[in-house]
Amino acid sequence: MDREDQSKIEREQAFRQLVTTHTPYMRIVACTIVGQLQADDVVQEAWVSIYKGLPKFQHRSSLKTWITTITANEAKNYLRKQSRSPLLESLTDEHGEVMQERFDKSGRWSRPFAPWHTETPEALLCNDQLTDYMQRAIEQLPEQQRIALQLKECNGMSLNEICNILEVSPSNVRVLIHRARHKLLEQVENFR
Amino acid sequence: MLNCREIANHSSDYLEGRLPRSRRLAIWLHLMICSHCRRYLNNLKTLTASLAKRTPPAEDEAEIDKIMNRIKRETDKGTSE
Repeated sequence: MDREDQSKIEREQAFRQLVTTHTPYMRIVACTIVGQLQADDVVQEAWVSIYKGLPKFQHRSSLKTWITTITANEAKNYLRKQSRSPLLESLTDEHGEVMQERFDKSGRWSRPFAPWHTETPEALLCNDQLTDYMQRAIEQLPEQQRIALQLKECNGMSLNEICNILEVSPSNVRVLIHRARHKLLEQVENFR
Repeated sequence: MLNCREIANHSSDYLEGRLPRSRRLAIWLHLMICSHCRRYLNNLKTLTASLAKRTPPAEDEAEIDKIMNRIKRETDKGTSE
């Protein structure tokens, strides 16, 4: 085997490792935007774009952010081609008011949360029933909230990065994530 | 002095360090005397941390093969054109 062949094999193996590492996160983004059935196509198209664009990647963002952005853009392109409605509309209400029914007129708790004395993030995740319940609760969130939450919490994107993908203002993104978290908090409270 | 509803409305910004110092101080003062809000913020912090710790399932090799084959087809198409 000559050096060129060897080099080609090494490049393919390296790229395969990249695909193995990043595809799980890309799939979350794709599923969140276009749904599970179409996520495969979106992920594959995204990888083609990534493969072509990788030599020109300038490290202005992290590789994961760049890859996630390409995936989200492919997902949005898919929606446009399907003539589906625009991904998101701007929120008209930018207030972060949540759980208003839990407070009395003076703003004090009328229905406070129960304590989670022994719960840590790890303990929550070890409870399979609860994690399944949380996953279903995430899937039932309004579309805008679900996407913002997944990009922030599962993909670790910053507010500005999420704004660029969702094409909404930073304050909109903050409100979406704030509301999504509280919907989940209420669901977990119901589960316990 | 902030009330509990206001603490809830600002909770995400507070936990992510996005509030100005004066507002953070006002919240801290409230938390000193309000166990309900302390508990609520603790629950919210735990929930948020658990969401961040979730790792997606690994892709199986067949799915990786599909992606690599798709890329190969695309690059072969580009070479032959």
